[in-house]
Amino acid sequence: MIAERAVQALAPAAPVARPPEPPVAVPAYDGPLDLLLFLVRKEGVALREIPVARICDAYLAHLRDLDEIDVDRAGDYLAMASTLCLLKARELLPRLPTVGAVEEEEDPKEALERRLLEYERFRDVSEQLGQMHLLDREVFARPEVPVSPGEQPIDPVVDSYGLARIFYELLERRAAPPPEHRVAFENYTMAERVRFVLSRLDDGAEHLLSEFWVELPSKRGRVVTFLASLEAARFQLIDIAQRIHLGAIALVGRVHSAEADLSMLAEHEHDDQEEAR
Amino acid sequence: MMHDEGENVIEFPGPVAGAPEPSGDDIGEPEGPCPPELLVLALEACLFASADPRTPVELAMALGVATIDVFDAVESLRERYLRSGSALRVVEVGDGYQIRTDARLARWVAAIRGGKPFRLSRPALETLSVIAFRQPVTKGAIDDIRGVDSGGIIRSLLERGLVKMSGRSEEPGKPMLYGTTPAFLEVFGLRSLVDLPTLRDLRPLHADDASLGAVPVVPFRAPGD
Repeated sequence: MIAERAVQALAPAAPVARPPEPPVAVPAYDGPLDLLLFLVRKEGVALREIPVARICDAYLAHLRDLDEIDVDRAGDYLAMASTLCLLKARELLPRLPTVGAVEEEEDPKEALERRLLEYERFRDVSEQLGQMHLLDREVFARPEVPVSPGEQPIDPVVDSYGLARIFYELLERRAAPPPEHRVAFENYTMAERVRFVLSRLDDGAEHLLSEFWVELPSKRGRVVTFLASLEAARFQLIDIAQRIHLGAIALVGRVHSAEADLSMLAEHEHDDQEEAR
Repeated sequence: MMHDEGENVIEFPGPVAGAPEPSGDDIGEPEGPCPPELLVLALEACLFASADPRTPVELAMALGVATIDVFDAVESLRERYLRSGSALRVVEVGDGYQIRTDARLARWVAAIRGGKPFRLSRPALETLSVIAFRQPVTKGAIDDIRGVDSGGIIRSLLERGLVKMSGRSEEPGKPMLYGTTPAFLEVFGLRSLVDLPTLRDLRPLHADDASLGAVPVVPFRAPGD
């Protein structure tokens, strides 16, 4: 194990005659901070006295032994090793006096210590968490009992998001292309479309929204018809229904088209005329 | 009727005078409040029949009583479990109450349940505690504290429903923020995050760090010295 190698590396180079000391038995380490913390706390090694070269050797030896290198994990260890090297270098090399207002960056030793201490707090508290009585490990509650499907009513209300999603699906569904290309301005107006929808839904008739689509190859026609359906529903001339959860949208007539109160269309007709001018 | 064990025996009160035995169609529509003498038993039955924790309000509505009565009944039930040597405990988790088995009986319950035992590895616990104490927190901040990459662990915690994405940070790149879920409280048997064990103060690394307070010097002795 990498950790054992590192601990072993701390032992002074033994004379050949002496049998090597067995490595200190240590629990598996969860990363370089954990290992470093062990060395500092349990072995009492001061950060600056950690034999960097030997720890690095241990890391590298471990990496060589691996059949497959876990780049992330190896990188974590190498980053820690280079931090230790930097620290050592700072300790050994004389420092140039800093000039003027150059901002002093944080001393790497202090930074490393701070990280170690911070890590230690979380490691300790996670140990406490691990000793708690966890559900389905130490303590058990009644298991979830599946509710029979009959007891779960499908919410019949179509939310606006679902409606929009279905509308886009319908737009995508291309009708057969017209046999010839004739460029003509399709003059769909809201008032005309509401009347169209109502005429099809006379006296409680029901049509799928998609049925209107087949006869309307243009996007403009579809959009205006969709808006007209919403407008008709707003004035309670038709209902919008979805019989199956996430299923097709149906339009259901509520009134006889001859008797329908279409006064609300006046505003649209006014707008249409304005636009035409 | 009194047994030798006396107070350990719970007497089920007889049917309320005049009240017929409930059957068939009567059930499901409670008529009026639960009679006081049945309240603790009814509460126990409600909790027993529920998989998820039940809030005091839910219980009060089901039992037709005030929430303060629910609190009292929970207290009585809890006391009775402790006094009568029951296998069950009433615990407060999240906003509600739940009946759980006593931790000392874990191995046998686990055996009868079968399946894979619930486990949280050390790295998972570490990551979870950083998220719990620092939430909302980015993956970068978690990696920084742990000194290792936590991506895989965060993903598995997300899959297990213990943590959730709780928005995006304003930092460059708008990294995802993580926080704990109600399921986290349930698994750890906590009422709220306030009940987490306390994150203790920093401990000085060395005795010569006067600023951090003094600890005895442990001289370094290499193994085998």
